Amino acid sequence: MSSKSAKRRNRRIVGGVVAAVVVGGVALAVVNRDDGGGDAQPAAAENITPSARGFLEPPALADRVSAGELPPIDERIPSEPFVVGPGVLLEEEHLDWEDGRYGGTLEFAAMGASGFVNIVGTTVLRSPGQTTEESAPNVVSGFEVDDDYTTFSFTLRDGLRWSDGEPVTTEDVRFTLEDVYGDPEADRPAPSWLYTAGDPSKSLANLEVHDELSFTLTFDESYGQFVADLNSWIPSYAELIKPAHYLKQFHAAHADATELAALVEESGRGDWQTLLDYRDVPHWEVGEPRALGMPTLNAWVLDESGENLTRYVRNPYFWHVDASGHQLPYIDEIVVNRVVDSDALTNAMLAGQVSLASGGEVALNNMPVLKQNAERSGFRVFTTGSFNNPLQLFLNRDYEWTEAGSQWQAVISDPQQRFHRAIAAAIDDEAINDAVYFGLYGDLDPSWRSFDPAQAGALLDELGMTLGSNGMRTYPDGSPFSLGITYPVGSSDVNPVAELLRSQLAEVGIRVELTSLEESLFNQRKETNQVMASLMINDGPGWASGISEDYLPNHKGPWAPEQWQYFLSRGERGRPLEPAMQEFFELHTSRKQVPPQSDEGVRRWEELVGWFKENHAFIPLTGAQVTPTIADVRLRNLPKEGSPVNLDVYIGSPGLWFDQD
Amino acid sequence: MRRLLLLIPFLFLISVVAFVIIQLPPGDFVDTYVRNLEAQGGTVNAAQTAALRARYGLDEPMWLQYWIWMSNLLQGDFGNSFLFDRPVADVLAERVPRTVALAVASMTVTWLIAIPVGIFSALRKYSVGDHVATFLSFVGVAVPPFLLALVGMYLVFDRTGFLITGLYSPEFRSEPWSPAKVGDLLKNTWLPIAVLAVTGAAGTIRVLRSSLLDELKKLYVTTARAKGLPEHKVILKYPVRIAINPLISTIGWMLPAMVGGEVVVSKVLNLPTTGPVLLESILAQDMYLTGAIVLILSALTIIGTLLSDILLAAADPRIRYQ
Repeated sequence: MSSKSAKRRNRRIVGGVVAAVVVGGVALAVVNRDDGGGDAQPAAAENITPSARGFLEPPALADRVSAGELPPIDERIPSEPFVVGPGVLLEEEHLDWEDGRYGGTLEFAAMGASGFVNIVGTTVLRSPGQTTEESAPNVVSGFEVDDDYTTFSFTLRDGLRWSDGEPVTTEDVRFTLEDVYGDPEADRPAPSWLYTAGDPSKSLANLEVHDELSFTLTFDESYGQFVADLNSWIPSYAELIKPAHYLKQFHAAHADATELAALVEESGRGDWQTLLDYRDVPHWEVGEPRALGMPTLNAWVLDESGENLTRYVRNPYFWHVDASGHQLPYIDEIVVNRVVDSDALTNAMLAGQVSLASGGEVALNNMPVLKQNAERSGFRVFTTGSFNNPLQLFLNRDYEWTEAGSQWQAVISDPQQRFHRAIAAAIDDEAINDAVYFGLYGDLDPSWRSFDPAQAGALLDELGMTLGSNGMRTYPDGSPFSLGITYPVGSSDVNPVAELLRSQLAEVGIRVELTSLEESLFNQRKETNQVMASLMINDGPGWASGISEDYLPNHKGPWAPEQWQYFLSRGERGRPLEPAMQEFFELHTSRKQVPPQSDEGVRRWEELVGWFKENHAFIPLTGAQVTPTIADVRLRNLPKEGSPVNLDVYIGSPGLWFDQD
Repeated sequence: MRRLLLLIPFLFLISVVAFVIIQLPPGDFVDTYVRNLEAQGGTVNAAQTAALRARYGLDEPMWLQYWIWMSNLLQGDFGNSFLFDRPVADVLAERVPRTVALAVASMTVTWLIAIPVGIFSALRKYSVGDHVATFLSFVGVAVPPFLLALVGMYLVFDRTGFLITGLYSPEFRSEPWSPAKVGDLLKNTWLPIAVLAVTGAAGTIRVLRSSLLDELKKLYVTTARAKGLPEHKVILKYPVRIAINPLISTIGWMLPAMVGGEVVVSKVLNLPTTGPVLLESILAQDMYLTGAIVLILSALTIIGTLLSDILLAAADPRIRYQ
């Protein structure tokens, strides 16, 4: 929006608000019942003649095609498109795929501009759901890796085009690796996953371009984890393949000096490096105003980005098709309405202003009120597993490590892990599940469960943490002990869980002090190693397939933050590694050599899980999460009730369609 | 004139204090940015963080950062908001007028309610009407505005199925202006205005009532009555004019108070005004945006105070400029 129209609008708002004063009293009378839900247009009888290649031109684009603004569908789709169908986007047992029909608008509400659209899976390779094993070529049409996982060969899809119609070629890859990451002038360090073994202190991927469509990436050492990264929506395609034809106008090595100077001047960004950084929008921020005009390979392209809403429209060049000839996505538009906080988001859901909400946006505690309003507002509620572990308790092994004679260090670094074991034995996961999650969360895996308060007491006694006169335990030297659990405010279940945890630990004589902090304050305390223990969720279910690795010591709740610093800085900063942590980092590094879902990868992962259990890196408080998703009743191709990962709802959204019947 | 000149060093002082306070907590915007990326599952390596810091100028010492900010400010450039990745001036141009409009509208309604009720309450002291007004205004003072907003929102939604949220309903958000859109704006804004007005009015009624009661006892009122002036003239022309002085002298505080008190209401009712942005920018350590908002709020307060002094002098001839 130009500032001029903004000003005009604001002036009108002033007028409007003043007028509101006058009519405010009667306004209630004008309030009428709005029809909630998506305003999908009925496309009941799809009457589209197939093209020569057998594709169906989306009606939303037909006018632009007949006006000559867009080439017909046959020219927009690669010679070998990616074909979706049963078991492609999600495993068959979790989704009954039906080829859909065109049309409709998905409405979302979000606090940021991008909404969930930033995770819609446009990855280099594609496996169903959150797995990484199948690795079917996605953006590319051919992919091969050699036996020692050092050489990865790719062929781009012939005829694959950016959303503005320009072809995607190896020049886009070369530009990304050499002119953006590789050019010291551009001052844009590469993301970690493009370094050997994901380690920025090792060498960057070496690119060899063979022709317009094929290229190889080689690493100095085995890097099987790279296969998982290519499948993951976390790095996405955009960190490897950038639209060179668009970005070159902001790059000094390619642009005309005067034109570039004018662009820099106009943008007010100081220098071309900053401008390039600004215009090369990371995929997390696809909805920001600066992403307008940036070509993409996603299913939807940003069309409007204001402070009230973001609108995306279908990418005419999207390269997924279904067996009956539809070009995905089925749904023409996505509108993300901006809300100020999560309560406003819940309100919007209840009022039926949202077609789909999942993940962290919907809390299980809200189930009753969601169910209550479901029929009235035209949505249904179903539950799935989560991409996140439930809340975990993290005990910080590095807290007070520099303080001589720290009693915390005395108990936390007990070689037999008795303190960790005692805490784990004091936690009654079933009671927490019943009290906070309606008993809907899963049962804790028996190998993780050790609930036995008597055992907890015995372990603490052994450790010298005996009961004092007030019935609470002290440190071994007799000084008062309390376990400080700090956690960021966030989801609505964290406070009740923390309170339950406090009373359960009190049962075995451990005094707990709870501190709930605003997230940024929590992070500050975490950075300065002031967190003794914390409560947080992490991406557990995404670890085995290599999609996420936030089990690392300082990623969610800090459990060994200073030793992580030591590992990262190769011994320059932080705390020298304890023998157990030495072992942890060896397991973590060796795991990266092979693909996580190869036989060897699975074996190494199990070893790492064994280490977690033995060393209580995190202490689970309940079994697996179950989270609600709310969806417009007309939406099809959604995962089934009970499918494993809530995020698949969003990631597979190009396959969603509205059934009007 | 002297007071106008004094404003300049005063604002300068405020800007220094604001800037220092924003910088006090450890960490900076890049930390927040990195944390957010990590929360989404991404990772940022040390070289990337260093490059970001250099780009935002966060690797410079604090005094230099202040100097850059200030010298740009004097040329009318508020800098770029890290959080929104847009010029601060643009963000503010959207929000400040809206906030001021909301404040002015609810202030007007406050007075429309408070002045007549306050006068009535004082004139009919201890009557049934006075007790009712007193009771209601105590309730109004005691109930936090956000609660009132929540209850109002719930009632309207429950009765009509219409959710009051934001300035416009979703279907109007990107529409051009039309009578229907204005109607929609009214449908969404009457509640926040009413909520802010009711809580504002409650206190004002009490103030007006007590100061008017003091005046009514005075001899000049008896004199005016004895002179045979019509009752409405006796009341409105003299004691009321004096009794509203406390209201006029607080105009200056009203703007910032509205912006402050409005934060929670705006959060509840999902309004894109200054309050929520201020909160967000502080949390994200977006120093340019926070600095600009604090500066503008301070400037508004100072200007408001000046304004109320001038108005006071105009309304009450006993008050003179020094």
